Amino acid sequence: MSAEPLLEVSDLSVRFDTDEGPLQAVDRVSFTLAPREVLGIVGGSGCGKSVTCMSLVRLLPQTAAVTGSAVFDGVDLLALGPRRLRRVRGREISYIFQEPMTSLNPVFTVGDQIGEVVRRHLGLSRRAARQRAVELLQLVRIPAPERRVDEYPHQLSGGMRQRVMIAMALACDPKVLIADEPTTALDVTIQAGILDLMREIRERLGTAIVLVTHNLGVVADIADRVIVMYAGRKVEEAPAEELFAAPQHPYTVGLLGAIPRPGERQERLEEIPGRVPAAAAPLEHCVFADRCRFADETTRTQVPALRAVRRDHLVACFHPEADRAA
Amino acid sequence: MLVVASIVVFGGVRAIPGNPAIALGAENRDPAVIAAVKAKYLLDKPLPVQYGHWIWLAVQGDLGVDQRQLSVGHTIASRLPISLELAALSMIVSVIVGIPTGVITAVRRGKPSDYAATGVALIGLSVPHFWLGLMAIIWFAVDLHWLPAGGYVTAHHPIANLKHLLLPAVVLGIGFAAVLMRQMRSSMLDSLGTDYVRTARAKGLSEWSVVCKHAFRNSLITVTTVLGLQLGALISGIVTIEVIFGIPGFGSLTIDAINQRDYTLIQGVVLVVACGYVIVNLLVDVVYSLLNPRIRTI
Ligand SMILES: Nc1ncnc2c1ncn2[C@@H]1O[C@H](COP(=O)(O)OP(=O)(O)OP(=O)(O)O)[C@@H](O)[C@H]1O
Ligand code: SF4
Ligand SMILES: [Mg+2]
Repeated sequence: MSAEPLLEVSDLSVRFDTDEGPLQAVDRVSFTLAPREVLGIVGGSGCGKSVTCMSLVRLLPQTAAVTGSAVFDGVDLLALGPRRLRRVRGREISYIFQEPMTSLNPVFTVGDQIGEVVRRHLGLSRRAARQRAVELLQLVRIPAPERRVDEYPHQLSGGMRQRVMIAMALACDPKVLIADEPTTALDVTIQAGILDLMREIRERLGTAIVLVTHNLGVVADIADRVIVMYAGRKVEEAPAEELFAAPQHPYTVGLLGAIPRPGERQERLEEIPGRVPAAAAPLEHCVFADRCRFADETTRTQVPALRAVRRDHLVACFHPEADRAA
Repeated sequence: MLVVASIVVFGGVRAIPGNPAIALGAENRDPAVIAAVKAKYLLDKPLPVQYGHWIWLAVQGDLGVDQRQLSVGHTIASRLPISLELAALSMIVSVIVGIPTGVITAVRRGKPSDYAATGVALIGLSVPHFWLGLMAIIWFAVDLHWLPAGGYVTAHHPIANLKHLLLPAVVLGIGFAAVLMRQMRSSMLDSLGTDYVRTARAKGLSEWSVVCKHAFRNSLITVTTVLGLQLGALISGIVTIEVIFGIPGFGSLTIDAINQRDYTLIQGVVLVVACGYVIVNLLVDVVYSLLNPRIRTI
């Protein structure tokens, strides 16, 4: 993508102060998001995808120390005052959470919760906000929106709740939509519907989307560009087709090997041996060395820097696939 | 529920050692008098008959007469409103003090103001009512002459009425404020950590909306249930406070009835308390279901 980036994240690091000592959840991650672009972020459980996304709109608890910068529309989100930050949240950058069952407030109606966003940011009246809520429910294909708008979250299924979350996120026509595993907690049959909806949003509204997922099949489907994360680091980045055609990092190769074939039950990508380690101190070797088939003396004593193996294709590995093939 | 309560009341009073007939006959031990009294109060009949008779009259609003031949129903009706007023005032005090401090300490968790307020609440919880009551009388009534030390003036003189009830209501309310505050603080902390509060923040809502709308409404649900459970403590608190401040309410009546071993009066008093318990719990359930849509709309 050659267009001026909408969001430019540089050297983002997040360190948690935990009872067991510091935990480096995200380590110097940089990426950009162009207008109308869909950026996929993939990686195993606990590799820092959610923490990366949440730090952008500063939704992490106070135990998190965030450094780096995230420039959106000319301003650094990480340095923004609370008032201006609130004007960005929900209006310019919206968020869809991983947990549809618990992300809606149980004591307010769906219409209240959607309407609240437009009343806050666009100053609509109560009536107009309700009307807008009905339209949005229609947009996310919830049947009988006039009735549903007055229902409470517990009256809706998980898939419906996630649609409500999406409706809420789209309420102010945001420039960026961050969708953190919007389908992981849902039934397989319902997942497809939500993904269709995401695809439609991207086509009809032209919203730029950061789509976090475990499912490479999903990424192949909608993402323009993909970031692969491992243990809090970006280990590979490439345009979607290229990543699938020619993965470079051994971890990515492993992920692709574990990709479920269509029609099969879609498992979480846990089939790669070992688990994603949570690092405490800065590493002195490749993060993947313990699990890598190609690990050697160099990779155990030095940290591989990101380098371009092709145009737009970055990888942090001393022995990327391209070199080994040669 | 009420039936069980009434049987317990009835049985409890009968189980008190001593012969009710002698007591009812004003300690006159003449067998003829006792027999007459027994016949009049059906004490010569088996217990189930006595119970049936008492309940039959009670549901019609007739609780019998006490030792002085005054209607128990009347006595209770004249004393109860005083206690209800005291209870309402002290509840208002505890809600006004307890709820906001609970919310504020939760929001400023770990800051000095949180530690200070939780510390004060802990003291408030451990100080008994009677001591606080006595101290209040000494400071505000005896030393400072700000408020009367005790007694009661009817609501026909609203200012004097409030002046007399203010001190007891505050003393009683402070203890509950501490309970409420701690409850509010812990349930606010729970609510503030939930996913839906994170959603509210992600929507760009003001901190006021996030705390006072999204987190608060959910915390109120737990606090309501706890409030219902505090009723027993409230009743015993009222009894203590009424005695200390010389308020001629329901609590003083109870103590007098027990001191004079006036069985019909005790029976009536306890039955009213039991009814009150049931009614309040019902109210709590109603409020709870109003606050909680998951119950309301099944
Ligand atoms: N509030 C927190 N306090 C301490 N550590 C945290 C906190 N939130 C996340 N972490 C840690 O940060 C790391 C990254 O977590 P994150 O939620 O970003 O993973 P993820 O990639 O989103 O995983 P998943 O796919 O399971 O959602 C994990 O090791 C997690 O334990
Ligand atoms: S640098 Fe070495 S250990 Fe790390 S992924 Fe590449 S080959 Fe494996
Ligand atoms: Mg996550």
